[in-house]
Amino acid sequence: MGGRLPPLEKGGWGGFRRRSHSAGPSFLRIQSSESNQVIVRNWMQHNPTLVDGDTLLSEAKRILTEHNLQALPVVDGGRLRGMVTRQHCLRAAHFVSRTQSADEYSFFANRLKVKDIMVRNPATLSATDTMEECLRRGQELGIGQFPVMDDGKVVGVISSKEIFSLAAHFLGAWERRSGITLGPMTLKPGTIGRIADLVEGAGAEVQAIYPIARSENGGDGNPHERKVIIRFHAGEVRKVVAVLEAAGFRVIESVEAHQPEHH
Amino acid sequence: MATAAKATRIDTASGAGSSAAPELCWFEEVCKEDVALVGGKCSSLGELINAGVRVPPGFALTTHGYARFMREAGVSGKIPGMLDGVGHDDLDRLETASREIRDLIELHPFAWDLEDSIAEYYRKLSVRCMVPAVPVAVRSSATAEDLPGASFAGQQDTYLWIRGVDDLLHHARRCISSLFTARAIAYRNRMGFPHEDVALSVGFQKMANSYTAGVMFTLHPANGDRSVIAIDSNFGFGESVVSGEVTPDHFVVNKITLDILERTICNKEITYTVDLKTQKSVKVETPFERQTVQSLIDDEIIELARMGKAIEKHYGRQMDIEWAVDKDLPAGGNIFILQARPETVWSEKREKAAAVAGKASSAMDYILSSLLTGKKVT
Repeated sequence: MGGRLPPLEKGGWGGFRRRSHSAGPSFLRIQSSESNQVIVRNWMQHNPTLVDGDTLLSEAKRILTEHNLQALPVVDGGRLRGMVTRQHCLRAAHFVSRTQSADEYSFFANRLKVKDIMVRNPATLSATDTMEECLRRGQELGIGQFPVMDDGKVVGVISSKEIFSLAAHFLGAWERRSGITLGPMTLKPGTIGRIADLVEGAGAEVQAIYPIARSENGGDGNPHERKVIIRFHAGEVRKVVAVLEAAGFRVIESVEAHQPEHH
Repeated sequence: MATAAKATRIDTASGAGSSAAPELCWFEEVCKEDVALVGGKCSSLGELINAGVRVPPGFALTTHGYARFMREAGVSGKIPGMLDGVGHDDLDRLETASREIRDLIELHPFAWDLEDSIAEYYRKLSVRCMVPAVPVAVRSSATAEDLPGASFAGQQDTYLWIRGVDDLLHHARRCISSLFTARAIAYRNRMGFPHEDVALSVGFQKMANSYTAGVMFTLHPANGDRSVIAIDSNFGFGESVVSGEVTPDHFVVNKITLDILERTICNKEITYTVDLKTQKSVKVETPFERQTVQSLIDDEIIELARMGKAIEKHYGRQMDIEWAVDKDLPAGGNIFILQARPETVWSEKREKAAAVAGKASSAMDYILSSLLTGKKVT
């Protein structure tokens, strides 16, 4: 199952694009302009900084701080043995400073090794996993960083930085789009097309439509219902809202982009 | 296909040590019935924790983990050959064979995944104790130790104040190899106990940074008087008392009223403590002005006696208890129990008396002898 893409789910990160909507259901094809495939290899930090188990923890902490990293994979003899995170270092440092003991400080600075603190057998991702898989596992395990493996070697790292750029990329955070969120509805074939037509009919240019599922423990209401987030350029948001409401959609929020003079 | 994937996952899970044959476990996961799994020492620590006694936390490498290590080190197969024709009184050859076996064990690294499991337990223990690379006592917990008729007690080693994964693993191997001291080999040869059948568990217990430590009996060790609790104490780790290297302070407490009946303060010349600069356990001479100071204050004596009573009640028999007073914690929460085992010397005498009582001629004799041996007459 490893390299195959999971089926496209409406509730996932599958942002529909107006133009390619009819081109086919493959998530990859939708996003496949240039190298922007949504697999881990294309989003991870390449050539990650690695340490070995005998590295002093104080040294690892220095590397994490100086390079502003979240985690260091620990590799001995080419093999991944563990992962030491910034949080582990800070916790250890906190424990030590609580003691107010010069001997504890000295042990921490001169004796404590990465192998004493690191998590063994850390959860990993394969370079060919999808980013959806990455997000799903991160959420499931409650962790924010993964070493990325290819052929038994550590080839990259995914940390919050990479997740941020993924989210920003998908939401077009730098494009300053206007946005509207529609209240929960049951999506039928044609619903999304109709929304797109309505928005464009109001003089806006649709950039993306995301159906968003309720969160897993999503309270009451129909679990099949989706909120729909619309991102668009130009147009008057007020006008778009009016058109959508006239067509019977419930608008629960709207944001007017602050358009730069020249873009 | 989905089922196949699930099946492989279960396989790998059991390979890493599932509930069927765990290679490691926390003390609180075992009780006194688990001697075969984690040995006498660790199982009794689990029993105490579950009875609500204050015991420093820790975990054990189980006999399954031990067996796997021995298999992978290739020791199990070689031992019979190495000991072939070595008599139990041939000291030189015993020493040589012992050295060879012990080197074989001590130089063999743990398998990576076993090392990872031990290190992961150690990391979790450190987080629980809020000390990075928490100092632990590494002690062997033999399955045959302390059992009637096969007194291996004291033949296995204990290592104090071990810090860091490397040292931990090294001393775990030394604990395992201590099964093969010349003395232990000779003993098993003489008793006809096969070497392949011995099993050992290794306990890793958070080190109490003890100000004072010692032992406590829930009877008088000199005369078997069950109405009192006897406490021996010295400064530092309890090792000086257990090994008999010092004459400890001796207290006798009335079990009912908790009055201190006897108080003998001795000249305690040595202390086992930790050198925090090198992070090693050391034996030092007690400063002269402290040698004749009472090493345990009265409040602590009474608190200890109270804990001793509770443990005796839980086990329903007289107990031999090791304890420590931690110097890093405030009074009221600083007394820890490090070990509790059934007292053997007087208990065995009593069992004999009880056997006689069974054949007593009259009902009155039976009741009287039962009263004498502390048996409840119903």
